[in-house]
Amino acid sequence: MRKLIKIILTFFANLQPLFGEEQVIYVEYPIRIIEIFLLFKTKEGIRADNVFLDGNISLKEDFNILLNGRHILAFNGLKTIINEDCEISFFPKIGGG
Amino acid sequence: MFANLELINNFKKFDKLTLRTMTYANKILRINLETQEIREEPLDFEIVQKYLGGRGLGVKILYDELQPKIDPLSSANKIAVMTGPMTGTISPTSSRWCMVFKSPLTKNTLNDTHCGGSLGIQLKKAGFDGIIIEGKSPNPCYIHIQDSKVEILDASDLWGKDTYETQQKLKEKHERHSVASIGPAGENLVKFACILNDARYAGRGGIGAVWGSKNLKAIAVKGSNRIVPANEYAFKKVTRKFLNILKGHPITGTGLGLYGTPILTTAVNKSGVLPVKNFQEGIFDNVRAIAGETLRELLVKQVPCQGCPIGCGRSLKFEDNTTHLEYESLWALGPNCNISDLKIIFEASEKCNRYGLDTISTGNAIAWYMECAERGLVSDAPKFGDGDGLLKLIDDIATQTNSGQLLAQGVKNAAEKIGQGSSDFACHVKGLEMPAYDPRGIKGMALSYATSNTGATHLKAYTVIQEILSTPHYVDPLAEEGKAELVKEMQDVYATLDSAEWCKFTSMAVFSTLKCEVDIYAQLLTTATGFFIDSAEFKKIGERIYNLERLFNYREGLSRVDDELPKRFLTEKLPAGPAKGQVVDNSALLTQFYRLRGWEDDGSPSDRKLEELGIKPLHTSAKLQVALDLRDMDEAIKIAKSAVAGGVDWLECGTPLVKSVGMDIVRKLRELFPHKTIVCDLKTMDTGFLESEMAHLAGADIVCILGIAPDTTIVDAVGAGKKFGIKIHADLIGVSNPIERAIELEKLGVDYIGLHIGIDTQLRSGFDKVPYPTLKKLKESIKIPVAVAGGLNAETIPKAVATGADILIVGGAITRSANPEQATRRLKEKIREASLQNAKNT
Repeated sequence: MRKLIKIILTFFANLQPLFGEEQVIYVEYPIRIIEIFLLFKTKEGIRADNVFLDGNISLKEDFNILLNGRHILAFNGLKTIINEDCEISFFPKIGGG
Repeated sequence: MFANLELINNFKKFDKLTLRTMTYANKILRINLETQEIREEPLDFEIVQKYLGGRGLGVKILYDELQPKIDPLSSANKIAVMTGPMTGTISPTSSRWCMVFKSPLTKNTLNDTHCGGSLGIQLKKAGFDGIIIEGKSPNPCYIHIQDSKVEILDASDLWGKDTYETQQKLKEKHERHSVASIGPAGENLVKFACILNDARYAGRGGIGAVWGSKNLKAIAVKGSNRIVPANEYAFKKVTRKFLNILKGHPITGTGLGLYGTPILTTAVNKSGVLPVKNFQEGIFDNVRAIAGETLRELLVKQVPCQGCPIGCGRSLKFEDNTTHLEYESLWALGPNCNISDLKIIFEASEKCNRYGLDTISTGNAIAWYMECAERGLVSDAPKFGDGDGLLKLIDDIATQTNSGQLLAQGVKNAAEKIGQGSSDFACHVKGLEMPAYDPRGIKGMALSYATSNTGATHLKAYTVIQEILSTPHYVDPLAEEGKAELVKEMQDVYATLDSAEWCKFTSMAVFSTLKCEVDIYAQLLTTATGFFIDSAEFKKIGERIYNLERLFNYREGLSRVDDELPKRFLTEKLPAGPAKGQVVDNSALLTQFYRLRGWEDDGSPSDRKLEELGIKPLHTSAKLQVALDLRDMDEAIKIAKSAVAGGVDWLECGTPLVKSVGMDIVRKLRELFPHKTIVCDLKTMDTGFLESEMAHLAGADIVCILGIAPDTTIVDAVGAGKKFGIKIHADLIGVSNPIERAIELEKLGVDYIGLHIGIDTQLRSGFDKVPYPTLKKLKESIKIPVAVAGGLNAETIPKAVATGADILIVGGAITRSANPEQATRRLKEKIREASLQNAKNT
């Protein structure tokens, strides 16, 4: 039986003008992080994989992605399977202090 | 490595360079506010090559000139106002300068506080690399410098004015001068008062109070000289390369300029380490209200430091309030006090700026007081989230009225006064309040705060870059592996950056791995100064500075217990978020970090490390040397490990051991304990050069020869010592006229004299046969350190120390003990107590 799960996508810094602060999407379980890039777009309709990915297989160096507050590399990187109500946060490289 | 052949060749074209064309002004100004004496001193280039400038040179000057244990707010304290070799050059972010001083907040440590205002540039242009300010002016004063004209002027009409008014008044009086000043908080000796210069602050450690204690209100400077690098062509070329690196990086090229430092707020909050309600929680629910993205909409204008391409500084306006607001201030006066109302935060920030208060310490002090109220420990404190209460407390702190009097002492002192367990949640290290990252969820920062020589600052090793911002790449913030190495590396590199006077934000673009590459910085320094500085030398300078700061602290009585975080972080788990359940347990990391640094287990730099860095050891406490007079290598190693764990200073490969297993024991101990001093007791009677060389090649630091040996043997051993850097210990065993012979041996050049009652003699005539009268006479007759051996134990050691022994050689009391580690610890404690008693008696 097909199972749909809710995922919250949040965007920060100069990604906000492109994607807004937050998007909520419903996806079929199981799904890996790398597969969700095909499922959301910028406000102008550019698919997310074109923004974040290099050759559709790796994350561009300019971005960091957190899954529930932890970097996806703490799990299984882009191959991490996402669960219901996960929050995925997209950051460009930022600094300060 | 500096390997650009084109640049090296260009040096040859500029072979008429002299030291005067380097980016140093070649002079230090010394101003005594008490005697009104003003004098110029030449820059000592031997010291400059070792400590560079800025923080490093300031620390060196104060280490040499400050008496231990002085009150930081007394006239005995000094302020080193320093520029670095980069200050005022065309290198990006080089408008920086700093002040080094003994901190009234921590009492026992130095602090170096840096500023991006233009004062440093003007000072360098006026012809000075720095100012050493001494004494206390009888009346309020300010220092005016215009090129070579230096004067101390009356500031009675400025006293009481806030930082903005002071700056304005002095700029009206002295056109186009750069002005740095304190506000009322500094005048009122608030222990975390700061200094304003242009729109930037030298914020931490209470420098404003030190100025106030000297009745110094301001410094106004204008200079007209040109700052010329040693190799201008090459320097410009490397600068262009540096600029391209900064512009091409998403953080320094785009992000910081667009959003300023507040952009960190959401990333730190998402990671669950944005401290809320005095570090009780790590996630601020209403973060959107104060996020960097929200503040971007309030931008009035960017206010970059002079010549900075990054441009993180900004003026922001919310309703009627305009202020300069950085991430740290936003957090300290916002989430840490559970306040999200920007109107309150802006007003609070502006009050701190005008009073001249460090926002990090102010926010910490107030949040701690709010928690005291929450726990029912005090009755007059506002509750968390009470904005009006926050504003009122800022007024009270700056004017030292009502409960502000208590908070103006800093959280450590305030908690000690209130008691009732409030020290457990006073968030500081060594007395300096903690910045905006909860160490429970960032293990590198936990170690960084703990081992910072100046207390809880994020600016000694900012591992947030790697652990939270994943730059240059991801590092797990909750893992301990690799953190000791990362913290040490960053501490050393940052110390050199602080001494050259570059902004640390540049490092976010420059580092490409966790090894913290510094090639571009080294190239800039080489072409600017004319000193050849490669990457290894760059890091070595930083390491030297870090060790000298540590030695300063050790001289003041600080030790491992001061490298600890408050109880909250050790026992209270973070309640929610990705770091939920985390606490800090630094014990293993600290030991690993000390080993990596070549420090003793009590956190003090080892003699061997100091010698490697060209720093003279303190010798405040006699050394404990364990004599491994055994036969078996494994047993010797086992005991050596226990003795090292117990804090032994020196390891001796005893003569029976060397005869039994050869020089392999020296090699093995060197491999196991790379930073320990290793003594090789060869009891050399002939072939002094050869045997000393053998000991050196195996890895020993000291070789023991017999004092009774012919002078030719002694001279040869001393010659080997000079050639290889190994020290010579002459053992007086069997010498019938020890005093006379010791005087001769000292003249021949040995480094240590050993007064030694042999084991056979001990066995026949009982232990503790140290001839104390001879020891006393020896100490009166020679200047080199004296070692004593002869059945010493915990009971007899105090007498040996009291009689003047510098090195206590202990064998059986450790090697035959059931618990050598515990026995060593006990002996060390006895030596420490006896040394302290000696110090008191003298």
